[in-house]
Amino acid sequence: MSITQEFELIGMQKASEAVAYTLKEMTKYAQPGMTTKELDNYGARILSDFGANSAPYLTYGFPGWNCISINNEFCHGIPSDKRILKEGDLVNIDVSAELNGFWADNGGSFVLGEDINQHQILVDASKLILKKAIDNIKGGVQISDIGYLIENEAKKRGFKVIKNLGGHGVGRSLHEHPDELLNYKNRFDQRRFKKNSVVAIETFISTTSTYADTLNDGWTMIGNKGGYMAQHEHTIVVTDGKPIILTELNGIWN
Amino acid sequence: MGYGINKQNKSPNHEHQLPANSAAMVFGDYLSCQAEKLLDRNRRSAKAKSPTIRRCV
Repeated sequence: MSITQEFELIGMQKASEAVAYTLKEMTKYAQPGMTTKELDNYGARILSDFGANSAPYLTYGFPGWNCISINNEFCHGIPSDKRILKEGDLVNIDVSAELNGFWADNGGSFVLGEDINQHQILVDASKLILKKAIDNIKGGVQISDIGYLIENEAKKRGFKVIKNLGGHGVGRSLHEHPDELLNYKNRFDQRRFKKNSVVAIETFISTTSTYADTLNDGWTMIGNKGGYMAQHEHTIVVTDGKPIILTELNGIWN
Repeated sequence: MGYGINKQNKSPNHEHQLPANSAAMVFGDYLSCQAEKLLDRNRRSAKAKSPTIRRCV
């Protein structure tokens, strides 16, 4: 969406606050021994308290409120009462929701407890790359240049990017134009970021894979060459200068 | 929630009932992209000299 009136900015701020606060609280709440279903239920209660609804459920019929993916699961993992979190797990939580007709999206990967499996370097790279990408977005910047930046920063650190997932426009629905904000330079993409547009910028930084495939459950995605992936995501408003980070409250950069 | 690139390039509305406010795609398709399809699409875009990426659904 493009923000043209104050009520639209206020609406987006409220929806973004709901998803950001929920992500932050879910991240704090996650503990070894807990099931991903318990974690999802906790997030669902917070979103409900805001009056917000699960965006993946509303849009796609996702069987849960939030996507929770563990270790080799890259994204879109289904909350389950059989999936138990363990110390050192690489956990990804993606919270997107609708509130009063406005939609916001954010996500983050983190290491649960002690980093016994050495995932923190991947997580830190993803966080830093998202920050660099967002710092370089303003009206008029070519979308593919941000893709180049993300892939280049990943390569410098010995990582790869997932090429069939990307950020997207957001605001009046979960996925809207501009779509396919990819993590690499697509030389055929001549589009530019537009001032006042709302977009969800996401990193998909991986250890070995470059594509994500869907498991038989129809939702969970894993790497085509295995390994691990870290994702971090903010909903932002593009301006002439630094973007307004609507989901800054989520604390993924802390 | 990441935007996935769809490999089958078909409209969801022929097969599924989606909420009015949903994005115009099916999640199963949305999730199931393959590298070959992406490359094919880029080749087609280049051939058509299209200035923008076409939405792949």
